[in-house]
Amino acid sequence: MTKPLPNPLPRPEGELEALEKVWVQPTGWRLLSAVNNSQIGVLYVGTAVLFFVLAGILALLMRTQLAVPGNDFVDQDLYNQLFTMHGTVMMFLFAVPAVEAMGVLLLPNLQAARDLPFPRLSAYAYWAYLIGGLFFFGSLFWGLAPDGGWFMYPPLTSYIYSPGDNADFWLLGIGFIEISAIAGAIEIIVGVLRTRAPGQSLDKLPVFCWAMLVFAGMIVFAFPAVILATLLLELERAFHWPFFIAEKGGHALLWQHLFWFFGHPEVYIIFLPAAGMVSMMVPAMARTPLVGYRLVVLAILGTGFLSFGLWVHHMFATGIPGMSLGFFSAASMAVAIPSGIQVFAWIATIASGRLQMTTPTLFLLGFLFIFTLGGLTGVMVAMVPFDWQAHDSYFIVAHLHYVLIGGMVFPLFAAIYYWMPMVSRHALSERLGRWVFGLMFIGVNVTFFPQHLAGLMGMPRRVFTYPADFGWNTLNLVSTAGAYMIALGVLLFLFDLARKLRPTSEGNAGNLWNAGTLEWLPTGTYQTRSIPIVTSREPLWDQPNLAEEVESGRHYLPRTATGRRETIITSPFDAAPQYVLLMPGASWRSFFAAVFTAGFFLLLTVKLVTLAVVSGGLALAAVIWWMWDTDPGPGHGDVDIGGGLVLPTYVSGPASHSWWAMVVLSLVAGTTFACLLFSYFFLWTVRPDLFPPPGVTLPGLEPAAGVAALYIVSGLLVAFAGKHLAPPRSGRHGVFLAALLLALAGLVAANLLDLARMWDSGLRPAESGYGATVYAILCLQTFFVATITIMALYTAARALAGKLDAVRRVTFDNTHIFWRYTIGQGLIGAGVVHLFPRLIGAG
Amino acid sequence: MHEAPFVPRFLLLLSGLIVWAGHFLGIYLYTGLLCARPDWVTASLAGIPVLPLGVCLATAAALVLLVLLQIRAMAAGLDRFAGFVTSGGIWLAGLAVLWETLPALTAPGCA
Repeated sequence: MTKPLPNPLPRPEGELEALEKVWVQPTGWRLLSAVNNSQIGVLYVGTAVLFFVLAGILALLMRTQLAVPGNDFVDQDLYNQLFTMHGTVMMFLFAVPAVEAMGVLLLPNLQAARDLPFPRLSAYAYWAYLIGGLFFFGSLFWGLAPDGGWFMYPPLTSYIYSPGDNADFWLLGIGFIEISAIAGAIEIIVGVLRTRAPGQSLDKLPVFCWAMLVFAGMIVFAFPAVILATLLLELERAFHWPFFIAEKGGHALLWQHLFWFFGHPEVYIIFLPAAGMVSMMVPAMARTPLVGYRLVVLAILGTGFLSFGLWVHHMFATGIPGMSLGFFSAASMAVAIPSGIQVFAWIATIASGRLQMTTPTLFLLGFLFIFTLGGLTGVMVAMVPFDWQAHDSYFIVAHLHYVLIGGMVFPLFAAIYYWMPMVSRHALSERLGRWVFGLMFIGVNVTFFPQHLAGLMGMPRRVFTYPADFGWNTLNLVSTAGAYMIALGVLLFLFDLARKLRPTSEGNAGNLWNAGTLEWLPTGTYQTRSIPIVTSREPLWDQPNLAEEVESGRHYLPRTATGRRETIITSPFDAAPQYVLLMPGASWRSFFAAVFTAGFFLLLTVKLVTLAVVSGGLALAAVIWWMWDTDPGPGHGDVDIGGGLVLPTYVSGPASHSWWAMVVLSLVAGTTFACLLFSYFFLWTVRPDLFPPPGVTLPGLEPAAGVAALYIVSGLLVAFAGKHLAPPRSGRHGVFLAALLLALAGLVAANLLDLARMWDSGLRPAESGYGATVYAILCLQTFFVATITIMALYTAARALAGKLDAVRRVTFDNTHIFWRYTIGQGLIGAGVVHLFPRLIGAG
Repeated sequence: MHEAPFVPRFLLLLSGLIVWAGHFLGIYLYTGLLCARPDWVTASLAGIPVLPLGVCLATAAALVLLVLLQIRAMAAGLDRFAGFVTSGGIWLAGLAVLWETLPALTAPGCA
């Protein structure tokens, strides 16, 4: 017997109209205030494609220069900027944002949520990325573009050898864009785990959602390393803190460790979502479920972990101990196993189904061919002796392009062709699509295959020209011809896109592929009319009439229960409905916050410090304005979503989605701090004689104990404050506010005392690597204490405004999570800087 | 509806891979540390150089932990999907741990 559906027919009059009204999307110039994923997602993907084209043009300029030996089309200085910007833009402004954008666009649809849980955060991440990215790219036109290569190795990029603003554009620009990526990752983690269709338990989760979950988790643990690295290098450039200067106890390899701890997982950060998309498209195109779903999920998880064990394989030529090289070489080969599992699962799915030879299929087959070749050369360079021969040669250029174009660009093109009918009134042209594929597939192989040979013949990467008698002429000419072939394919694609792309939510081209997953349900601006109960991985294949039932409003929440935008928050494992989340509508707040945040970083880059501070203040004001309406309280009561389920519209504590976001944010902070501690200990291994430098006396242990005591008291006081939040509508905030402000005073005092005692000891950050890392630890703590100060004052202001009490307490809970984290970091930091030097016999 | 707490359930799902991460980071840091101290790296215990010995001991500990986790996973009454992913992760981690220990027996120490 079939279970009855949650909501009966006919639906009440005006129900659909009310739903449409609350989800109405802004148009025209008000599009800047849009926050809904269906609008932001399309803009996000479009912007990523724009940066792909811009970086591609830079590649064409380079290939034109290299077409013949001794060419003078561009000079060496411009060439340095071109290859640096090409790599940087492709990696930071195209690849990562493109897959993140696909997540923002697709995840709510794949999970039948009305949106991701923090729509304004998505909008903020997008606008920050667009504005920051355009200004960063624009630096090329003023000769200010970075020119130290996309991995910006010091000492080349430090103040001695790169004294201009060029490197600062990279450091501050990329640091800023990374923050945008982290914002997106937090959104994705909470979105995948908490906003799924009821019944869509983890074993029924689409593979793309799994891939995005792992992707976002990897961002949380990988990106802080590069954010810290950029921060340290900027401190070195601006204030001469010698983190990377050997003669002062720093070390250039520290940068390489931090950069590649991010940089290698980055490859899989790009590849896994692409592989997730492939796992969605292959079954649809082969008209059969994915073979080995559980194995593929395991492979995604395994790849996510193992990819963190590969960072040193970019440093095989740096003189690292042989045994360490062995570990990383072994890990580099081991990661081929989970990657291979996915490839075999796709091949088996294709073999077991009836493949439709459409444009997405062609790109998928092209992906399999090109990515597999890139993977094979990857196993070659994973072997240390071979890597020593091929290092920094065109062999590596060929390898990385096979991996990245095969592993990300081809799946992305397949995905754009595949999901275009979901976002647009028209699909892209099949006939033109085949031409696009043909030109790109042949072009990629013609461009990059000869580069293997050029590399093996000794051609180093990043040379702006070469002599005629080295035997590289023909190979380079062929490579250049291939590059123009790719460009022609992309041009044809853009032409088709301009003809056919007409974004829409309600009148899209529909499920042309007869796919089985939820994104192909009929949608409006509110996504699906009702939120379906899911019982399988391919609900549209296995649940007959689902589309009709959903569209007629027979599943959950077919209306707006509170007169506001809403979605259902579900439990993370079993996707059981837990509460109804009230969501924000279109808003300028996140837009202005992004504009002023971008202004802060960009003005700082060009040394307009006062204006930067003003812009930073405005950004902070915009964020507070944005936050003020959040944490709405339980005023809407419980609502009936159908099927006898009555859910609350407000929860606090670990059940709340914002609690999850704060925990993830604390993980980001913790990873940043761990990377800083790694830097401290790394410099100790290279210069133990400077821990501390001669002439410096360590501060006494008594003040350090006082600092620790102040942190602990602060933690106890804030916990006490949490227990004395005023009862609703009582207005009795006295005890709470007193405890909160005392706790804040304790926190600030602890940090200032620690800094003052260290300064009194005679240690200076610019004099040694040791001093630089010690002050970096203390200053990072200052940054967190400053953040807590703002959060505490904001929390107090909400209490005074009647927006915080013992029930409506999410704002306090969020502040408390970060507070506890800051205390933990302070205690560990104080322990390291005061105790470790004593442990090793100093002081 | 309530379900079991997320964190312990999710950690068990990833437990094998977490052990792998701990082992990998451990042997890397241990090797780096010893190689940075020439007087430490030449030490030996019962005639066995401390560098490969430490790595092998870490591997033995990781493998024991993986076996215990596998026993726990089997006793936890996991559903088919969670059981497969948990056990698969443990086995994958075991293979990777063994594979990555080979250099300790074959590669030059700090050369």
